[in-house]
Amino acid sequence: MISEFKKIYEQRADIANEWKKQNGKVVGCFNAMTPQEMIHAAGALPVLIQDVGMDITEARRYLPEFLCPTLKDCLAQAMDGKLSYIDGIIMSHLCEGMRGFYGVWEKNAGLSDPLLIQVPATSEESALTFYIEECRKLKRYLEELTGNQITDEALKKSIAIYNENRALINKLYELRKPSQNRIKGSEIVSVLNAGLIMPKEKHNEMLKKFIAEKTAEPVQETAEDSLTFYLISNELFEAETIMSTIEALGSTVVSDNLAYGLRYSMEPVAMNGDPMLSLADHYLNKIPCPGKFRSDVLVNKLTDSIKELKCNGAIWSVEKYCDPYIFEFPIFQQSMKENGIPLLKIEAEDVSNSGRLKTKIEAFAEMLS
Amino acid sequence: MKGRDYFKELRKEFRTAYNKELADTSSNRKPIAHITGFMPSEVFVAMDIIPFYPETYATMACAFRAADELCLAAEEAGISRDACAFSTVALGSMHTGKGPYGGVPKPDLLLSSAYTCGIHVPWWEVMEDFYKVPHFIMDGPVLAGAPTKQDIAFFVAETKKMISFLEEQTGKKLDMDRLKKCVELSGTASEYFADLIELRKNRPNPISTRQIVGDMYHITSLPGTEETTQFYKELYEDTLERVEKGLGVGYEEKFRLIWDNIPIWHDLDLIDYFEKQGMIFVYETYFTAYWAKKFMTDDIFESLALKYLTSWTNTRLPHKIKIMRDVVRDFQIDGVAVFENKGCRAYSTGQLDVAATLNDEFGTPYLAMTGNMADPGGHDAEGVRHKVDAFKELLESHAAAKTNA
Amino acid sequence: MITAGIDIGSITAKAAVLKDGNILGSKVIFTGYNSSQAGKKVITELMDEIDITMDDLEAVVSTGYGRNSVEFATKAITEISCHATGAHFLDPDIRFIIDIGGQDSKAIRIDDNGRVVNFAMNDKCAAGTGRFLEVMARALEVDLDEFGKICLKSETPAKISSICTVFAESEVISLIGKGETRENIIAGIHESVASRVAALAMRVGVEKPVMMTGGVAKNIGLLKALEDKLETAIKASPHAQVNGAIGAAVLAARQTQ
Repeated sequence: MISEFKKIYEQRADIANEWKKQNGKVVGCFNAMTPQEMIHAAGALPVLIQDVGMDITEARRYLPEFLCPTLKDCLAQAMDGKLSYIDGIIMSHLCEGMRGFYGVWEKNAGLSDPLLIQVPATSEESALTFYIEECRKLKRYLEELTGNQITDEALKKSIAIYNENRALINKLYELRKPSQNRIKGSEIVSVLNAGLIMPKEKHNEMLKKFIAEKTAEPVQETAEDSLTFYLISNELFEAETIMSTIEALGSTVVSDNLAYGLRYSMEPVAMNGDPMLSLADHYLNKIPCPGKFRSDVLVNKLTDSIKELKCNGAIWSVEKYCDPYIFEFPIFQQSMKENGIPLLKIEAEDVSNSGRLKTKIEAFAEMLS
Repeated sequence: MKGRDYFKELRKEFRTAYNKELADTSSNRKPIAHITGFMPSEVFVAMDIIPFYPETYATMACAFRAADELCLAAEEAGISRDACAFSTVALGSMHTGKGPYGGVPKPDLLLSSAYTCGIHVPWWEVMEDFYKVPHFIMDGPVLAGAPTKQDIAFFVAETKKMISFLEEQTGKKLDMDRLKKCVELSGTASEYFADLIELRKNRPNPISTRQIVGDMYHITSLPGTEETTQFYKELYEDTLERVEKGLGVGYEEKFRLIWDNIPIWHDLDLIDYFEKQGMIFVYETYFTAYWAKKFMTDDIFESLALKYLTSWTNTRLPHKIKIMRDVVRDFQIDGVAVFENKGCRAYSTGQLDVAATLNDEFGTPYLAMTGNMADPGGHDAEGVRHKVDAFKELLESHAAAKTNA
Repeated sequence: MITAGIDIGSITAKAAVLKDGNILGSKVIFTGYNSSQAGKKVITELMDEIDITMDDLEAVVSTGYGRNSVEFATKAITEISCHATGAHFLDPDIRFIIDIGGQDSKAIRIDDNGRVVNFAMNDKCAAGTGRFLEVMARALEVDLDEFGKICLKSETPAKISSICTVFAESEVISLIGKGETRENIIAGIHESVASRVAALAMRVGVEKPVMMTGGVAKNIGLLKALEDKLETAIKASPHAQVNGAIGAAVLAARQTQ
């Protein structure tokens, strides 16, 4: 089934265009900190815009060299007409790259003006009050764009669908644990990718089928010298490269903190009470995204997971110029040291260079065995 | 006229006193709080807490030629040199205890802010991890345009939360009358500074960028004191006198330029390199959109919100373009020096759009240079100067074309 | 009136001599470590060839990175202005120049008088320069002159993503290991340089017609890759390598007027 998920991601433009013919608007989002449930409740299709490995020549004209490759790639996609199916865009302010990028995008992407949503850095009352207001802004924007009212009822229904998706992703990660070893990390990336651009209902159906298939398979035996790793990475396609490289060596990546994986799905959105308030509270408090979450809490969570999974080592691979991770690293490094967990840091340059990547990972594995 | 040396002397006295206070180890010393730029430091002054700015410290380390070594130390501690260069310099000092004035002082409190620069919070968290002292995060809005009621309300709520935190930590109540006095003094100082910048519309430009770079030390470190306000009053009056006497910065003023971005603190000589060749800087986005502005209203909290929320990095592109159009006209600008600053992504992303728009609309040429505001590692001083030479020829050719037309 | 232009680059030193608007001759030598001596050497050798002496030269303009080390020059002018003037002298229709040198690349827009309207230079980084191509040609054991021609045979250029020359070199080596064809790798290298230079050109605002100068203009693969990216035809300067020196000589003639 993995090839099916892969195919869906590759055909994202077709899927979006099909959706437009049948259902209505398509709304692009820039990161996981966008309450997609609201887009869904407005009857639109939320699609995540990610790095796809474009030629970024023209985007370079507007953006400094030292901005993250993802944002450059996203602008390149827009300028190249690859996102022409998008009707509305939401940018959640997560990092400093985004701050200036918003204006550059608005001026040069050639798409409709994006809505900038502020995500506070804290989550106490004043921040929550502010963020609820931002969510209301988002609601008005979506209602105007789609012509549909976002009723509480519709919102609750959407939350339920997204919660089901979260539960299924949790199951996927369960099946990936060393005790089960039924799903590979690189496979999960393909499953997640598809989920970012297709209707969630359909993704849920596919996930259920996929999980049933995998559960029916016998637990896979692992080689004796097989090692288990935890991967910290913020780019799905980079993560896939790294995981595949590790898997090719007979070892496994048993979990990760991918933005759209377990991190996003850890907890369901509360179903009682005002659905808008539940959503605001959830996005502000329940998604441990390094852009907005306290580093020490984040690092402790990561450390606990790594210990619980009894990983042989942790691998840190973060995109170049990604500030939230740049500052999280020294704290994480310290925690790994204190807990005696071996750590490998992979630089951005390594990921594009299969030879270097393989050498680094092999050497790390040799060091551990 | 008091002259440049007079202000230099005042600055020196100020710096000495400030650093002496920071180094005080007596039992009744004032607490030290490491805070970020764009936090309402008037509150700290009013509460007898010394605000210490790691960012300003980093600029000083550049002046003392210590930045490279400190960045290297930060790198060894796991902080990439791709990070904000103010952070790498200051964190390098934190880890090694090296740097001017005996290194970054040990804080009693840490306070970071999230609205003007999203780097501050994670950076302060690295300090929190090291110093193990209380850390307060002051939240606030990243503006989508002019500050709205909602934005201001958020900032005010956060300021009050911060005050409660400080009261709790110091066990002392904030005297509201004193805060009011501090904010008023600060407002007056910023107004003098803003008026001083206005004087630079004159030909020749009466006060150099190099001088202002030094003269901003008071207002960035301790706004809201009598001494600071007096300093800008005198500086304004002195500069006004220079205008009346038709005095320039000491070099022939052939072309009038904008410097867009933070100065290159480890290569301030670059400014002189421009100016020696007749390219005089008369406007910087850095000073005006931060400290030199008029923000006072009847409400002190609202005044603080207006001061600290509307910084340049918290301004969206269309508004930046609007401001710059006026600057090009009012300051009679001949060219723009666009410093693409690896040390600050937030400032640098969108700069080219501003410059290109001015170029389209007014034909104003611009020079794009890349470097890092505080990390001298790999700085291509010669290469940048080479570009400056070519830029001068470009300005001359533009001027010649204008004359011919 | 006889004037000379001397262009001291990081790798080569170039000289050109002009008499009443005609090129008397030009010369290219390696700069070596002493750029001051290189300037003297290249002009002396050239003067010997065309049989004139220092006394015949009415004015000398020096340009390039080593322009301030040419003691006998009447004036030093940056190669931005010199390339603009040189290109305009060779073809007055030209409105845009792309110069790829050994250690930097430049994009220059000029008006109908050959005056610089806008320009951009890359930053201290070998990627997007002639040096990058040189390093890669060496890694692939291909003669530099053949290097550009080979990419014309490629159908699907390989993707080189490293920003750094050193990393790109090892990326190329790992592509060889993967069994990628030589043509595709070489085409990928040219794409990578073209992408950087094209972005630089776009920043300045491309205006047609475009001329390419500098030694790299002889590289047909890069020229084609740039044409694709900028969607315009690009003319290689007939005096690619000495274009800057010619411009300097023209400016020297103007100095005396």
